[in-house]
Amino acid sequence: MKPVYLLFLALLPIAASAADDAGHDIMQKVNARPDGEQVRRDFTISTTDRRGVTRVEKTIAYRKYFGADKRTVMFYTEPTNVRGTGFLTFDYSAPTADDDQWLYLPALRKIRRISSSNRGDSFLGTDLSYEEIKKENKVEISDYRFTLLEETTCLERPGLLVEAIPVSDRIAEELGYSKVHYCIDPAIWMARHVEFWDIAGNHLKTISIDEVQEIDGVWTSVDLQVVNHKTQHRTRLQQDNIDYSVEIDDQVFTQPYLRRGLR
Amino acid sequence: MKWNRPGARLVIRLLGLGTALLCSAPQGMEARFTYTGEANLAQESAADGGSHLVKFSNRLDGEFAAEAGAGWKWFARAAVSSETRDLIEPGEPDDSAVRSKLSRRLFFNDYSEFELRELFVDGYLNDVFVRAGKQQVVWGQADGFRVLDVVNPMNLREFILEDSEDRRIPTWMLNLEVPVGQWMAQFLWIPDTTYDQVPSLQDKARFAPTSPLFVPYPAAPGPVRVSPADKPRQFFGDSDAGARINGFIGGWDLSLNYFYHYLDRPAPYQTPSGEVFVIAPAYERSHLLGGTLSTVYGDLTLRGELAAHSERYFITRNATTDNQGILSSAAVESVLGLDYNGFSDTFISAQVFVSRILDHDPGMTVSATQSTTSLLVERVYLNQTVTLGGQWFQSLNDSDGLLRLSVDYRWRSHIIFSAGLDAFYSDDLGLFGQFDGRDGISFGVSIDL
Repeated sequence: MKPVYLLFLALLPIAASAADDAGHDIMQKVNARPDGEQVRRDFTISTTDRRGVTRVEKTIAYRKYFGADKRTVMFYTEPTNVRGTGFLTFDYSAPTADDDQWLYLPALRKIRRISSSNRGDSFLGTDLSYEEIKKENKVEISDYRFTLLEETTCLERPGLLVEAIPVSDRIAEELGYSKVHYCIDPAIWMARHVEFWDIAGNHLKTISIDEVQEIDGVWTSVDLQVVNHKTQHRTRLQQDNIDYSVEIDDQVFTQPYLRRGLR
Repeated sequence: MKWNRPGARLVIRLLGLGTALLCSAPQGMEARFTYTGEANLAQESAADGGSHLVKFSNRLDGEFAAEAGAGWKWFARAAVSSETRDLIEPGEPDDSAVRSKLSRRLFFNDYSEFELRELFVDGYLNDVFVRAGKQQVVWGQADGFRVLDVVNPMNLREFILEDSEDRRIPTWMLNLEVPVGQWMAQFLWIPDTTYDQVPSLQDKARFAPTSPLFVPYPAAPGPVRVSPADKPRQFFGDSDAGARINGFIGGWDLSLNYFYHYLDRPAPYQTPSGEVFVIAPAYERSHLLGGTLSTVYGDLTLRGELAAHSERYFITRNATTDNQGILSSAAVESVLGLDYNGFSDTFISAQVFVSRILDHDPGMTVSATQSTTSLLVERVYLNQTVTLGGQWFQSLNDSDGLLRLSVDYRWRSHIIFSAGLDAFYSDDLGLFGQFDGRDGISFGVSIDL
């Protein structure tokens, strides 16, 4: 073997390592993007099945940081048959700590403590997982190994394409993905277009953030669409009445408030 | 089967009433209406001929919310319902026997009724949440049976087949919730003297209990007379009161509960009066001390609930003039539940209910220990538009049980179709076996108007 090839082979791991570091750094910047100490907003969730039938649900949601930990509560307001359904999450910053989650079911008038191990499951019938709803356009860094693949365009804007591979089979099973491609807009450090592959390696779904607004100094996804390529099911998640300056009482993130619901 | 005229007329009236209320709702007031229609195909009891019957029922639920000023809000919920066969509560039930004046229903005729389900005002006094009025308060975490779900009485007109929301009878009470550090304390004062509504065998109600566990029988066949229950009526003196403190500590949801109350079912005291066997029910007081816990281990959620009663009243076969056929004892009820979320889109929940009479007498018709298990399996399909469910209750004492299957299809955002099967098994006169032959299939639709 010629010495020049030997040199190339010797440099390959260094180049791969540099790409890994760059990918990791980019996702760290995505996670460091300010998202407000607290926020109150309304969500409109539209799901469309393969026959074109669209079902619409509306929610009110609150989120607040308690130190590095994050608490989120969401209440369904429409339609009447799900009104009052509430979902409370304590998202702990420590990677080893499991989140705590509670679901309030108005038909039973009872709070059901739910396991957070189902983070890859569909969130209440949408094409987003519990994990994606919780992370809000951010990523659990410890779940993946990241690699910067190339400079590209995301929804017609300059972007960085980062590949994420789950760090273990167990994590891949939990999340339901074998590979994720994040197209990051470096101007605002937000993933604008994300492609997912399932455990078997099949193209699973695409998330695209069609509209972003700067509200109270926070870049916010106000219109997000998901297409599931296996089921042809679609989800559209729109946000409005977004307020990052509102004072939110700590009691909002408690079970009694979850039970009282919208009152 | 013909749709009878009262039922058809009522549906038209309900839809008209709903439309009128929607149009007349004042500004700032929210009004929501839901229509529920159901067709039941059920087996009649052998005593009624053993044939099949079809029943249609219609119901309109209305919810109203309005600002009361200073951050306080009014809320009201009412239901108008009708059915084409008068089998569940035959005739016009005598609500005065078990309900306070303000908690009674309004019957239009034998087939239709109106009930104010909730009416309250709530808001905050500094940190204290106050809710005053007719309402439901749910304690405990068990599904299916009450262990700590004792604050509101129940209407058992369809045993446990109705949704728990409809089974509970809302009562007038003052409900305060006070934050205490990381805990929340709740205080209840319930002057409403309303108790369980249990269908009567004398009225030939479809789900009237017949088991000797609950109904006393004379030693020798003969005439039986049931006197009206001696129902508490004093506003203050006969009030119930309760307190609960709950919190989330170290990954555990914990609560401690206390309730001083009249037991929701009267003790059926018996007096042989000449040749007539007289049953004279009377309501009795009891203290309840209990608690709940739940936590998560990976895919598993562990739930537990305990209720200790200072007094419970049981029928004895050894009736004497002194005990009047009733013996009392302290008793403990518990439930241990395990929920499993390890399969995608699937929820599995198993529960074991155990109750223990602490001072058991061999003459009691109830065993010292009563155990019932339940298993619930729910699976959702097509992005949660279709839900298949199965629930199985099994008494470990009497080998009887209940199997329930259901399917819901969310056809549109506002329209849900449903179908269900309820099957009791074993002809033992146990909790479930007493209703053997009361199996049924139902088809329904729920429309948010």
